[in-house]
Amino acid sequence: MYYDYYLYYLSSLYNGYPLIIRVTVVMVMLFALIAFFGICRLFFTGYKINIAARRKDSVIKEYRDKLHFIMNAETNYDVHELEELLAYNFKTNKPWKFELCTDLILEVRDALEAKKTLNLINYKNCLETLKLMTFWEKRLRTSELMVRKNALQTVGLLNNGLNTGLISKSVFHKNKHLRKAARNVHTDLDSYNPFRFMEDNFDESFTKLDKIRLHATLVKRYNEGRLPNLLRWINSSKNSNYISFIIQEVGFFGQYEASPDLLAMLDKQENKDVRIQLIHTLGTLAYGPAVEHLKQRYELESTPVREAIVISMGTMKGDDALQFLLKTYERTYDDSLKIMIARSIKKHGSMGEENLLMLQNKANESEKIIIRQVFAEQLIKA
Amino acid sequence: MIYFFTYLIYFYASALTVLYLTLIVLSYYNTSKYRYRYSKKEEDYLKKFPDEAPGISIVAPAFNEEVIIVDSVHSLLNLDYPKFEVIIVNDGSKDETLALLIDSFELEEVPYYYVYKVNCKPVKRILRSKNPAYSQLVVVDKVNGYTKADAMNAGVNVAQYHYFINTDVDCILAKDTLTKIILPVLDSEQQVIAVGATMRMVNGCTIENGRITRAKPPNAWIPLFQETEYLRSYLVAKMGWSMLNAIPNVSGGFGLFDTSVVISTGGFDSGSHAEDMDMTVRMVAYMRENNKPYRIVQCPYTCCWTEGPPNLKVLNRQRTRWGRGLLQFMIDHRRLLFNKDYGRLGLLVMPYILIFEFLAPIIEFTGLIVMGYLLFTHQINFDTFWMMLLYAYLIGFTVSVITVSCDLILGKLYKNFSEYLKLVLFSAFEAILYHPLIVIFTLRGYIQYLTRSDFKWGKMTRKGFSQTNQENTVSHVEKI
Repeated sequence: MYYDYYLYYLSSLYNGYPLIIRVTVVMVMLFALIAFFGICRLFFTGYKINIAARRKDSVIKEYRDKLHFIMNAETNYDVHELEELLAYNFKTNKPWKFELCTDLILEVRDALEAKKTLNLINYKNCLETLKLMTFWEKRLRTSELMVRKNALQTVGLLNNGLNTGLISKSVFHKNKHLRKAARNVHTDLDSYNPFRFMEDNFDESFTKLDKIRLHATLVKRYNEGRLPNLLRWINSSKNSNYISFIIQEVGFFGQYEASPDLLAMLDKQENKDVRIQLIHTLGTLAYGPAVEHLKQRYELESTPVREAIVISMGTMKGDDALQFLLKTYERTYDDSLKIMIARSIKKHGSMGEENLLMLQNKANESEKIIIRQVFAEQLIKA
Repeated sequence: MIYFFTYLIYFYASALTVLYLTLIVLSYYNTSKYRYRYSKKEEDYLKKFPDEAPGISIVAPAFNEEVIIVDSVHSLLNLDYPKFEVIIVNDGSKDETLALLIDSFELEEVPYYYVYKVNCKPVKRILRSKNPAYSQLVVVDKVNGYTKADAMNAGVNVAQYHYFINTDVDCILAKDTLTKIILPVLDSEQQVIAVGATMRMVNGCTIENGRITRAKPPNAWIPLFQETEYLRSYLVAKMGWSMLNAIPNVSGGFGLFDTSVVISTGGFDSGSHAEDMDMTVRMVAYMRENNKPYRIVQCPYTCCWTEGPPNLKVLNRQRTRWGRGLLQFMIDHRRLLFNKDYGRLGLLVMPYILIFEFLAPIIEFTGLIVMGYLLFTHQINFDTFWMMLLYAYLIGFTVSVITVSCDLILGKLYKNFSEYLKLVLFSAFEAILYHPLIVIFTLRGYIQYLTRSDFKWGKMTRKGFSQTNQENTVSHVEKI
């Protein structure tokens, strides 16, 4: 081609000009190239999007009804029968086809699960017939981190078991997002020692999103069988986010036997956020002996902890808690806290409502509004 | 002098080039990372476990918005998120805004002990719906405070959740907005104090029942230019700055904020003409002063659609106000400039705002005058003049092309590919047809602020989401 010719022409044209002009010529060429490749990239992306949309449509058209029929059927089909029913063409197998089939099978499964008509055996046989597990297990070994993370999440969603040896490298990978996804899948699918990472602080980086993912995993484990005493997982942990999460889960799964230990922890715990969570969990578990303890703590604590105590007193109920709330209401000057206390008093049923009405009778105009607001809130929710 | 100035302009353009190239690289990396990190699987967790989703209050002030208010509230109430409330602040509307709200959503006054956590004009009453279907709706009826900031503060005082969205009733939020915007908050080890997201123009889109059914680029030329301008600002600049945790501004049209931090900083400043930028910087300053680690994140996805200026008159009003706001902001926060105690806010964000945002229109306008003078006195060397002009032109055009390309990678919002090409095509004329106007309007804003002339802001001709022919003139008058 004549690239050299034009390049020499351009350099000769500006030869002898100051450096600034020559630099500008280079910059203009650079920008022109970037703009040109940008436009090419735009066309290419548009083309790829169109192709992807067409492929998706064809896979949906070909397999959705068949998969729905098979996974909804009362009859169990074996792999050979499914090969015939699905009439899947393995010759044209491409990664995109596996990906689209996975999305489709998950969509059909979730829809049938919601209707409680899923034939689990047929679902698992479909995975085998379409060789989806083999595909995703292969992807678990890829060097591209984001592809591997996606594969980990997909394997977790497919929920068809996993040889955790395949993720042994990922669970200790230096990329925290991949590592956490792998540890979550390990907790979800491992059958030998699933709670290995839970006992070991789960991960040094522990966010609210990890809490939600692990919560989902623990709910699944809980539905499959009993969970161990969760409190033992925080013995070696120093990560307050993780400790708070486990304490919250103790309340969620109703591990009432852990209540005395939680109360004992409250005295030793220096972290404010963990203390708040301990108080909330004691409230969720409605641990009566904690009332006296919380009453004593109330005066010494900061506002966020006080708020937690007030909320917990509302869920614990009982005369002691109610009397405490009534006394605190009269002594409190903080309007926001007063509203919270009134809400907790109201949670004590008819007794609480009677007391609120008594408070209303002797309250000044602005306090009357607080109590009327608390009564009105229930009507709005209803 | 002229010699010095021409070099100054050249190096200014070169510095801008380097800055934009850096931001493009950072933004490309950040966007790719974001796309993979927060997939639909993450979004599904929040839907499957609604109790775990953090609550979000959507605060939207309304002043004389009778044309769009009902559609807008329906649209907000239909968002796909497990735990949220919609707080509409009726800022003393003189039209039928409140009456329409009361009728359409079966509202009645409820007893409410209003706590003024941040300052605002008196609140007259709080209204809630008798119909359980609208239990998430709260309407705050207050005395007109003349500014959006004052109305926002009234809403923040009522917000019950830890995070709130600052938006306008003329904005349409995408159905999955709340899920998209909360994910980076949940996935951060540090406290996320604010999240911004991409905004686009609603002009040209087809809307049914307050929801966009067909996204299209605007047909009118001003909103079309503004669409590319917005995309460049959100997808390149802010996504790039986000990598450095140095986002200068979370837009007032749409942004998620940490309620407790906003309250701790005293809420929105009702005297500010750029309350969004002012709020962002004050939040950062507060976190720095209290030695609290923080992050401000930018979400690349389009979460909000807003009405762009339909004509030059409204564009003039909008940009003049932004100009006033920018100058006021620079004066109000001058102590932060080059102040090492404020870390990257003082050493990076504020100098960037000063040099590349505040001074840009001044330098560009002076450059135009100097160029005219040189042309008139025949001092221009045309051998190199065209090259320099092309250089300045290509900076903007290249960034626009890359921006549109990035936008398409994130997901195809427009049905036809040709609509993306339309954006690229118009961006080729932006430097000639649109940018000079922006420079002039911004300078007008500076002059207005300095001369303290009596001015109004926010006049916007609404056409309504339902595409009716009814028109309504909204004026949010502010005088200082």
